[in-house]
Amino acid sequence: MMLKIDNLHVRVAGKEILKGLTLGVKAGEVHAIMGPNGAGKSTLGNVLAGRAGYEITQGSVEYNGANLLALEPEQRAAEGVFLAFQYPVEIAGVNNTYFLKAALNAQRKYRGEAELDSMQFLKSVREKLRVLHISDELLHRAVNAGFSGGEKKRNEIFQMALLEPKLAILDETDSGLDIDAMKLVADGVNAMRDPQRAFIVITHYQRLLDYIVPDFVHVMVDGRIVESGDKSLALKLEEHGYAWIAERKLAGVA
Amino acid sequence: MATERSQIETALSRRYDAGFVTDIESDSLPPGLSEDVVRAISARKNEPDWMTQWRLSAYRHWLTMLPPHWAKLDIDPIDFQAISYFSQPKNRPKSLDEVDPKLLETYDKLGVPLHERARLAGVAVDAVFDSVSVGTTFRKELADVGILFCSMSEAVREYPDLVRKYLGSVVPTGDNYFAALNSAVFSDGSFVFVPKGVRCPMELSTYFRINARDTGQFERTLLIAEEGASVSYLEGCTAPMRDENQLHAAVVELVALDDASIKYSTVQNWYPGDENGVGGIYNFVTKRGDCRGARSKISWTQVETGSAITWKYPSCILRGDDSTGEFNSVALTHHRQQADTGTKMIHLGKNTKSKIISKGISAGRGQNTYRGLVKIEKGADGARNYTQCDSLLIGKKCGAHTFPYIEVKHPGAIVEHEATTSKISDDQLFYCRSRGIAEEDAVSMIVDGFCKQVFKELPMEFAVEAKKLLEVSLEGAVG
Amino acid sequence: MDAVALDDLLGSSAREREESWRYSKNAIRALTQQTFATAPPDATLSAETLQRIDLPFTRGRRIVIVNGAYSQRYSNIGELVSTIRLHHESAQRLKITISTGCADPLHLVYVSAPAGSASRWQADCEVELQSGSAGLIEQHVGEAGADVFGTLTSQITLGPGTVLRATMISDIPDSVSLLRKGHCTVGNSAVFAATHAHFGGRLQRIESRIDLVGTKSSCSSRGVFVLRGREHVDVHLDVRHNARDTRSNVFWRGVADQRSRGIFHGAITVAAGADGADAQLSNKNLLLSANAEIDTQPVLEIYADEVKASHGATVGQLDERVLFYLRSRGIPAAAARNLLIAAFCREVFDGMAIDVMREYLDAALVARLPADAGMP
Repeated sequence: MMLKIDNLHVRVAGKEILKGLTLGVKAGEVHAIMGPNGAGKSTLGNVLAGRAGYEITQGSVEYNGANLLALEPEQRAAEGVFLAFQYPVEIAGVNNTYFLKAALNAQRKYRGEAELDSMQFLKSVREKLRVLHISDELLHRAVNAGFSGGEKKRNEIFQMALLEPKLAILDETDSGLDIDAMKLVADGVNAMRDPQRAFIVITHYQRLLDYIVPDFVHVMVDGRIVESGDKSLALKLEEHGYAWIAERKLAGVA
Repeated sequence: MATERSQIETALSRRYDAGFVTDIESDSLPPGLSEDVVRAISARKNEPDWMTQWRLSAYRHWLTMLPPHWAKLDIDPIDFQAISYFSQPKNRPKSLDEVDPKLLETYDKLGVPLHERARLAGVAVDAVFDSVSVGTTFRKELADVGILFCSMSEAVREYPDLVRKYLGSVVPTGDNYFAALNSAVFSDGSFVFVPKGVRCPMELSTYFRINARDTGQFERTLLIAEEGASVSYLEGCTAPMRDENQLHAAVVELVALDDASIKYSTVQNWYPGDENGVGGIYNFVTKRGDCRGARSKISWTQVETGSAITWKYPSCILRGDDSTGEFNSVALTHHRQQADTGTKMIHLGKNTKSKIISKGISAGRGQNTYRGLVKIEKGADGARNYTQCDSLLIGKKCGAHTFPYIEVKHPGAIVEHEATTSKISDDQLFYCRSRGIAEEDAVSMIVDGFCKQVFKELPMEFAVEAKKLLEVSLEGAVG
Repeated sequence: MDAVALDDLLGSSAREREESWRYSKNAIRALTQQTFATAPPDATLSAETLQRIDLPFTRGRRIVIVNGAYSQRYSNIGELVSTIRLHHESAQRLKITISTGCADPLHLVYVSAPAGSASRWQADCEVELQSGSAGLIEQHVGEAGADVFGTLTSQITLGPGTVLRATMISDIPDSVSLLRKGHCTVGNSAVFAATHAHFGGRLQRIESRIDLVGTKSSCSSRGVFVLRGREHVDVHLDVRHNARDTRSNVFWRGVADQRSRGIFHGAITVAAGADGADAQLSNKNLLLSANAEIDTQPVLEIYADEVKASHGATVGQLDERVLFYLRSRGIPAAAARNLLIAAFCREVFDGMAIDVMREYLDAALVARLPADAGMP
């Protein structure tokens, strides 16, 4: 098991958001997490990446056998955890290429690998750009500064391609994208599917899953996973809506 | 162009609508200031000894002080010995029914909703005529919910414990030159006390008016909102047309305890002097609110269109954690008016927030200055301030100036200040006129739009009055 | 200090002084109460200092002033072209006349070298550019030791149509105090573009008055200070639009860490009749420690109505969201912080005409950031 989340409870600003979430992810798998707004989907992504302000009151998260929650955000990144942000921040004055090289080499240094020189780095960058059909004009700009919503999301995928994480968490990467942009994002993800790599795809809508076909679909409601299944679960959800899950749960309890 | 110029000239000689003199015999002290005068004022008001002593100590402090010189104001030296420090209508009324009908007529002309009109308008009014409060409406209704609303003189006599506890606790007697003067000779003003948990059921209001010749007006207002209380207070000012400059030096103190909220709105229309700068009120005012309690809120809104000189910085001391201060201002200077106005936001408590919106309009030869201090002290973790400061210039001989002071001593604070200067462009005017809107209407439309952010903070009746005041004040300003 | 000299420095009226020295009152008082001997003009400079001032691209055009006095020994003016004339009325009064501009910058170095006890120097420098465009680097360095208090007054006159690109850099130890009063007069269609970088000092006061007296003249003042320890930098800009169709652009950044204090006062005045003026000012600051302080005062005085004028000032800290984003990509916290501070400051150097100079400033900036991170 690459990632083992057990009975995770998380509070944000004094309010409990995750209320006993349990999830296991193996290398090579793609898990989709769906759920209505406010279910705690983004909280999960942020907690895994190590954002401050999330108080873990109960439960554990193991990543490759070690306690993930004990690591600083940059250590998690170097260990192979990558979060594609729902709202990537703009960083004025920091050149995109410079940023990527700094990130990649910091990770390599942490792992005891040799740092890439500029030539090697640029070669790798060009290759990923080509695969993702992204213009290299993006490299010369400041990180996300003045990017459109679609450009920001594609930049996240580009970073993922370059940093080659082991566990990639995509937080509503499809939100705000038109169908063509979404296809490009999905192509990027599919190109990276690998027996050594796992994905957690957080989404509100089923349509992304037409392009990134998941091995498992989990439905999250009120801070817990209430239903798990294969890709057909997403289609049922699409048809019946989230209310259907809530009703089924009630029926189950009764 | 030539015809437009002459239009300005005509409009420049517009009448000050509120500039009439009421013919009432008044009982005044002869001009001059001394310990005897201070004692005489205190004696005429039958004040207890502690009040007399308080005044005297302020007076002695004042003697050691110098007038402030840092404001961007060009003022002839004031002869404090040429001013009479006390003036009250003779035949003092004992109740509103005994008020001289001529006086009521005055208020009528001013549109003060006193007496029956007050009832209709739902506004409780404490009217200060020269130096003495002449009547307070709605007192009973307010007393029923425990709110004290009366003149300062009455408060000194009837609620001495409250007055002693709070008077001078926000603006100490020696705070500044004019506050010290006011503390020594203040004549009257309003006193409001809203007890714990009470939300004042109506807008409270004071209408000031300076009538007598050579009198200075020195009101003192004290407003206390206890825990969880809330109140909205309105203040309007006018003065008759006189050739001499008249002095006005008021002090307003606000105290907000835990969870209390105070909204203080002013429409100031003192006589601005004529187009050559003759006459007009010298307005030196110290207004300060103390957000003493946690989560308290004080909001100042002012529309300043009158006075020859305005020197005024309604401020907030954000002492309580999570307290909030606001300052919304429209200041207009036309002809030779000068205004140096703004605010101070002193952040002491944690997560304190302040917002400053200042709109300055300069026309004619008016000089309009925004001066504001935002200070984040060492303990003010999480403090936030946002300041927006816009100037509008109308004409080539006026001035618009911005002097912010930003002092930050805590790394957990965020302070943002923005300022712009613009004019009413010929393109805007032409566009409006080509759609059939007269130039003056276009100007008032644009000015109104410029001030909208502030006007929306005023109670409805005041917002209408403020808008009208700006229109009148700006007549003929464009050419 | 004698009273006349003090008045010259601090402003003669009480009102001027009170306003202008509001945030540096104690710092200047301590200096004026201290006893200073005259700083020795013939001090021998350390090898390290010589290396710091030896910018490879200014060899042959370098004028070195040691403790206020022109130093023949350390100056290196072998390549000075004939259009640049150097006069010195006395060792402390320098006049440089540039009749025709040239591509290579002229390098003025001021060294504060300590004596056995506290010492003081004064100097005056006049620069006149008659035609063409020219570059000027004014560099202040100091050696640690006993206190040194230097004061420099300078006048720059730009003739019609000229362009002067000036770089003002100071990197001085906290035993050195510097008061600099600069006055630049910009003629018709002339351009004055100054880029500042200031580091260190017990008290550094940088007064820069720019008079746009010529029609269509313009100026830009871009600058940054990065402070730590007990350093104290007080910047006073005074830009005056006195002619039609003039432009000014002021863009300053400040960083204060530890117990330092940074002050920025940026005043723009548009005189009556100076129609068509365009004045923009931006001042942003990072306050990084509970014991540091930032004071900023963006001032506008407008007496004309055909004007575009705006200013903005902020004081804040690094954006936590951005820090997290960087860390989530694997960049350690301290490095991420440095990277963001550097990015914040580098905006100032954008668009500098001389690349080598930008690189030089950048290196000086990076050297000022906390070293433990090893980045950027």
